[in-house]
Amino acid sequence: MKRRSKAILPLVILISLLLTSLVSGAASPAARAAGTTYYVDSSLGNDSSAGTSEGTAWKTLAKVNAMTFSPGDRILLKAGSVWSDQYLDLKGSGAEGSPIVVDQYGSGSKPLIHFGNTSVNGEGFGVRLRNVSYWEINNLEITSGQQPTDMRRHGVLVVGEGTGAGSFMHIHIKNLSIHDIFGTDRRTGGINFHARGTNTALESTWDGILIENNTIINVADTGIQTMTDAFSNSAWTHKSDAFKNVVIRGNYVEKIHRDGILVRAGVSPLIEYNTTNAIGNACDVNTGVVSYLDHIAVVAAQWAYYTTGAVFQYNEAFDTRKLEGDGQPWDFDVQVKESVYQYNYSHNNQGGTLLVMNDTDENIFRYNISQNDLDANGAFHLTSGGGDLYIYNNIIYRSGTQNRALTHASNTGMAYYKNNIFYNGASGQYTNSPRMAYDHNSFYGLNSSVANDPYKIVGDPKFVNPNTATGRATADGYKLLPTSPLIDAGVTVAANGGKDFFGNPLYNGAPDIGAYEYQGTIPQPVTIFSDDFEDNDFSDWTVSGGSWNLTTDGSLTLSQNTASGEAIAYTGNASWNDYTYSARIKLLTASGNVGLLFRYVDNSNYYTLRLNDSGDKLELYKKSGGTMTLVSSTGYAVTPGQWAAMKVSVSGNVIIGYVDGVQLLQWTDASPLPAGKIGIRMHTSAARMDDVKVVQ
Amino acid sequence: MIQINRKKTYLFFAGVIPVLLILVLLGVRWFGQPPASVSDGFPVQTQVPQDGDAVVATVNGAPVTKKEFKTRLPEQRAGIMTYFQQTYGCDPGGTDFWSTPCGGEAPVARLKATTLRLLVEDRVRELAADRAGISVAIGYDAFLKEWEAENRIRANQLAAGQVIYGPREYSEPAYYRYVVSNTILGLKQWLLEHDGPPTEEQLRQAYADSISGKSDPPAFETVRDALIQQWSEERYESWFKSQLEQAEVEVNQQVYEGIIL
Repeated sequence: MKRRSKAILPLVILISLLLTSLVSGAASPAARAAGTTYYVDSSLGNDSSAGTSEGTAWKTLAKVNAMTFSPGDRILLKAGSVWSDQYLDLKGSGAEGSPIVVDQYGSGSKPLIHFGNTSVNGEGFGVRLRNVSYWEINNLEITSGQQPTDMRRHGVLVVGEGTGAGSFMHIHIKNLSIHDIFGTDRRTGGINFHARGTNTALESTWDGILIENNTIINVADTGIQTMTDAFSNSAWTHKSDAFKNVVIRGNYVEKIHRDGILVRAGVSPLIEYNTTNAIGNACDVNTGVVSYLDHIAVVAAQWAYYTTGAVFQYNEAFDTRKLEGDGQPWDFDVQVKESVYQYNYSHNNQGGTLLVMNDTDENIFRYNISQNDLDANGAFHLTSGGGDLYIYNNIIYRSGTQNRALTHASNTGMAYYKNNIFYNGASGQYTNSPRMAYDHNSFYGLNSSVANDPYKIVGDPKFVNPNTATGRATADGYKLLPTSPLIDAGVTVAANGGKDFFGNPLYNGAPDIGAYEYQGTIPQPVTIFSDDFEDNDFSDWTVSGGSWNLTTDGSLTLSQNTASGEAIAYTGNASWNDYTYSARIKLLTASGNVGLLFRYVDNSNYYTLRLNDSGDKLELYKKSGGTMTLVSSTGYAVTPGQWAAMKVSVSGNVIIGYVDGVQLLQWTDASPLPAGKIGIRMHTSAARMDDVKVVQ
Repeated sequence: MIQINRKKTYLFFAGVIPVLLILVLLGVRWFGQPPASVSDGFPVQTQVPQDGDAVVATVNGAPVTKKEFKTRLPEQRAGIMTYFQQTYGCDPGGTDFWSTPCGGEAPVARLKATTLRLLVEDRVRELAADRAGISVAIGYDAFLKEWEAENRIRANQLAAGQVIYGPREYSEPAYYRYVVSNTILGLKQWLLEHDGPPTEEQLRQAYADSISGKSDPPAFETVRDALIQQWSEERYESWFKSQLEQAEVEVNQQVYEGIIL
């Protein structure tokens, strides 16, 4: 190859020179500065050359740094090149439609900038864009290695400071491999945007940031961040809007000392398709060499601060470390408002799933899946001083050693939990608080009866195959089987984002609970028995005690008219096991009682869900072997003379009782009566019933 | 083939590297070829057969191929540059840096040894994960198939308007890191289930060790979770070290020597 190189090289140079001279000749002197392509080759280049062709490539990055570039210029670094103790400190600005582009040419490894222990004004960087606009940086490998000198270091530093600070546009950073860079404080790391200066200095802002498809590994402090000193400068005005039109997409961030991806002072940033892994005190570093890393107490993986309208979606986060606190993948941090996490997947994060800090408001957490996140701070951690928060259609799946709370509330705003699935195959309680409202959630496993959700469902969600999402492009295992009780069982949420975790449009019929909107048609419940007594016949009912007839009360009803002793009427099939039984009931006797009988075997073995006017209660009794036991009870204002729509659902060992459409009571029987008929029972009371229905 | 058993592994790295260096340097002379030309700052061999499937080494019988070796080799460049610069003051920007002995060793030899060590670790981890019932591709060809399949699934699902999480397309290096990390997480979990969690006494001891000499230490309960994680980390490290020590590594010297940047 060497011989060939030698033979070919003069020819290449000749052709390149010829082409260059042709291009030069064709362009006017003014246009020549714009749109020039410069080549840099660490091996074969020469700084005395023109730099404008591969054959006349420059050699050093210092040569690049000495230039002030113009709109449309391109600086191409040869693939496989290595620059040691050098860096790019790029000057000049592009223009709209004519950015200045840094990229590689040729094939092979990305050009490597190893900036080692170099520094400019006390800080090191691989690439710096200081007080410039319209740059696009692509396809570089950047590292410093472990350096003993204590200073700030950055893979890429985009900074506005000093003379020339101001409003900057269009900075795109793509396909960089940044690794092994260690800085002294939290303003350092992989890719840093920083509006920097004292209170009297000019303030900087950016509009149009794209950070895409970069790999950032083993970096201190933070992987990707935007920062403004407006937080400490009272005269600066862009605490919440220093960064506009920010897109952070498709990055892989691993082994980070502090935070993974952190957007501060952003307006509607879009953070999507990123993966973060091993976040928080997670660098592979020889502390004998790098002795200056900050002590870190708290981190999160992908989060925002003083930001409005952020959208975090399609991200994966795992192995975020809980140090002295925090350690969650997702975090609505201080002054984050009207932002949303949706369609994200988290697992194995030590702190839990979501952190919500003070001075947050109107944030949404929806259609996310948490698969065995750990729970150092519980699944959700809502600190004091937070505002309203909407948590809906998420799946929190735990099957390990977790034992802390699955839900939480702040002490100020409201947390609305709707349509979520809490699959608790481990341990941990549910929080009840006036600062939270549950509505149509699925609670499965331990402590499922605790949460104060009037419309809770506690049966098995019947996932297709849960806990199988790791390493897969999707979480198909969290779809619902056709037999799931959660299909069409949720409550409608307005402005819900329009699609589920899997991209299906919302809704298919009634809303489903969980992150999946079932797409098929489901078997409708089958009515196995009904009787409205309009046939003027109750001969298929068996009565015991009392005096029974059909009485018109709006329509024909079954009426028991003697308030003395036990009165029972029953019907149906002794083999009925799981069913929902509903009827309209009217108690006629003050301080009396009347209830639905179900899984009725005989007068000594059955359940009854009854209204008791004495004490205003809804009560669930089990009668077994002739012994009547009150197993569950809740307050309910019973009004004799008024109809009540009673319903009981019995499935396996779980019994749920409703009145007038509201779930009021739920109980799990460790040794249930397996099957039986339905009926009505009262004691020392008269009552009527109508519109009896049993569905399966 | 030279066989390196568990006891000889480090002997190999310590002792064979200078030999390899000599062989690499002598090899050029032996075969009468011109010295490796320098392209992109690295020596380039032109007459090494482009046989990516050649086996550089086997680890407990599982191969490390040349293709895999040459993929991981450049990823170690920066670390090796830092090492020689900091240890011996050699200039990694020098034209002949990789082939010029620095501190008695050619950087390229250390680069190759480091790459081999990394690949031995990969194979040992994969085989251990497989034994633990953790789904993992064993070997580079299987890994590449899995990587391509992963990206194909992602592309198909995006095309169908479905949701994925993480990058729309994983680069090979990023997917490699992703798989390694998840495998280690799986093994840590497996060890935890296998051995049980640390005892309260062990945690108290770890806490005492961690606060030794600190003027304002955090309370035990504050760092309890972190100590459990640290225990799990150390348990894994020590277990993995023993797995490495037990590994049977055989290096095909001819193929190994033939690899040049």
